[in-house]
Amino acid sequence: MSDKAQILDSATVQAFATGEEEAFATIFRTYFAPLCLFARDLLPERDAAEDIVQECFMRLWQQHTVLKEPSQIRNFLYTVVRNACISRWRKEKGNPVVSLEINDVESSFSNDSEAAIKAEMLSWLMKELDHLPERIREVCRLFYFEGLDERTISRQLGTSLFTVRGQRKRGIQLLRAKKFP
Amino acid sequence: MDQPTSNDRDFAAMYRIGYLLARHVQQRLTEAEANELAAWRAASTHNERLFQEYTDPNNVEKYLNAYQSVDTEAYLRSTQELISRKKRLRKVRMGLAIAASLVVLFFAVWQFWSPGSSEEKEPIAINEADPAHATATLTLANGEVMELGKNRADTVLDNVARIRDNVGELQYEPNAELQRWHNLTVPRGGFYQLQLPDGSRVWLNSESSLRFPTRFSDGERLVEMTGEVYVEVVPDKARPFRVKTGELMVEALGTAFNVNAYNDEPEIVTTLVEGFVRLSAQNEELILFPDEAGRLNDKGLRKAKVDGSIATGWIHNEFVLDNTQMQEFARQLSRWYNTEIVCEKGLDLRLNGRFPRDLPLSRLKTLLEKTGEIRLEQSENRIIIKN
Repeated sequence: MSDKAQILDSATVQAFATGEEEAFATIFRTYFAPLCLFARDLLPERDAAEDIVQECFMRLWQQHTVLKEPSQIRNFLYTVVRNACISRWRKEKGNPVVSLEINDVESSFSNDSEAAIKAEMLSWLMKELDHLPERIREVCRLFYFEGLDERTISRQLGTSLFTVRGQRKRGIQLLRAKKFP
Repeated sequence: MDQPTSNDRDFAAMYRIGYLLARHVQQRLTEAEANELAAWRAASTHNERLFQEYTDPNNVEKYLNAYQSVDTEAYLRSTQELISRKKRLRKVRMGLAIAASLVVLFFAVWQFWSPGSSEEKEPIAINEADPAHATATLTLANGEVMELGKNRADTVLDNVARIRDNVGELQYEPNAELQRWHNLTVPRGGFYQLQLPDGSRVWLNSESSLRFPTRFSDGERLVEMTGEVYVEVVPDKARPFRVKTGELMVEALGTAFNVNAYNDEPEIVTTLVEGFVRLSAQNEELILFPDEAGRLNDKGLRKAKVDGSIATGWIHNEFVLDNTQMQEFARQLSRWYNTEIVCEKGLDLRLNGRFPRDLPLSRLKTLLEKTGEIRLEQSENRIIIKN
């Protein structure tokens, strides 16, 4: 029952299984940011999140022939990121493999489920980006995925800063609370 | 409803809650989903608090804005770059591998997935081993031994059973006249399935055996096992289904359970998935309900709360690790790959995760080494897992 709804569609997953890079990019765009936020919730210092998650995506790519269901990809990513965070945490504590130490790690990871709920909720919200009106979608994409600031976007699109700001805010509102057809 | 605790290793319920929260925020819940979410919120004050926190409009905006701090596109480009660099490397190495395999037949040179970062050491070749496949021997009452797993087509055995080698299953007919005892033995590096005369089904893991009659008695359905089996029992109130292994007797009516009784494991673990079973050993008795396990060791018979899907992952062809000691996992791997795999003295590591069992040993090595915690090294005929 937990697996009824999946963010990734099976066409993407099938294409990924055959090694299509565009499918990999789709999966990356869907999960990279939420997993980084997930990792930041788990790690003592936040800087390492992106590199850890990138490494996990490399591992995902290596497994592309065996991951055949959307749920397998999702489970793989969350599990691998979580374990990588634990590993990182353990390394940072200096003394790697004493059982007691690992138990410490386990207990400090008591919020991992909550972090997973949040990350998954955000991926579902962001998925609606595709359905936003074109102009708003482009502004939001540049802002949230390309990491551009509003001023750069306004220059790039040739619109006023005021408009860009308004469109971005509208986008967030739409992601949050709008019924789409 | 599951609570968000750290024991939920695979987060399955959490993904669902994440989905429901998103749909709530978007006001797009169906009635059934709304009920599901309401039930989760009602399950604990902790859940309700999380719900309030995560769906608060200001918080949602804050969370979404955090996307801006992650440069997805830049990381996508650099990841693609790393991948294509590896692909080129792989082509070169593939050529090398072919050359090398001509010289050293037994060594699968397997640096295909060699990591890109500079600090990684050169991978060491290990003897390649294939994952287990459907194979078994069947010993008949007269001592005749049959090899299973060799034919493609179905074979009929004296009107009592059908050997379906193409699916790796031995099926007994329901109405055999005579009661004869057969023994199905699965070697290391094998697995097989069995349908008993009453319709109950048994999955046998590597290095396991089941002794059973071609026709069950009127009062009970008794079988004996070694190693690890998973059983789905067809209900029959008049004839309890009994599994005997060593000192342990597992008695079931209609139910599904797993028994892990390998000689090299410290205890016999019976895990219940459905229904209920009664365990008895050394004058002790225990009744198990779903997601409970009975552990028999030298201290006696004890009950533990478990996740039934972990013990039975193997019948879905997966390794499922839940805080599993590396040593225990090494024993599983030894049976599955029919290769001696041991841990270096003093290695103290627990593993979590879930991955397919049908990987060649070399792929598994990559997976394990990618954790950055361990290395697998070939030493004569065994593989040693080192820190």
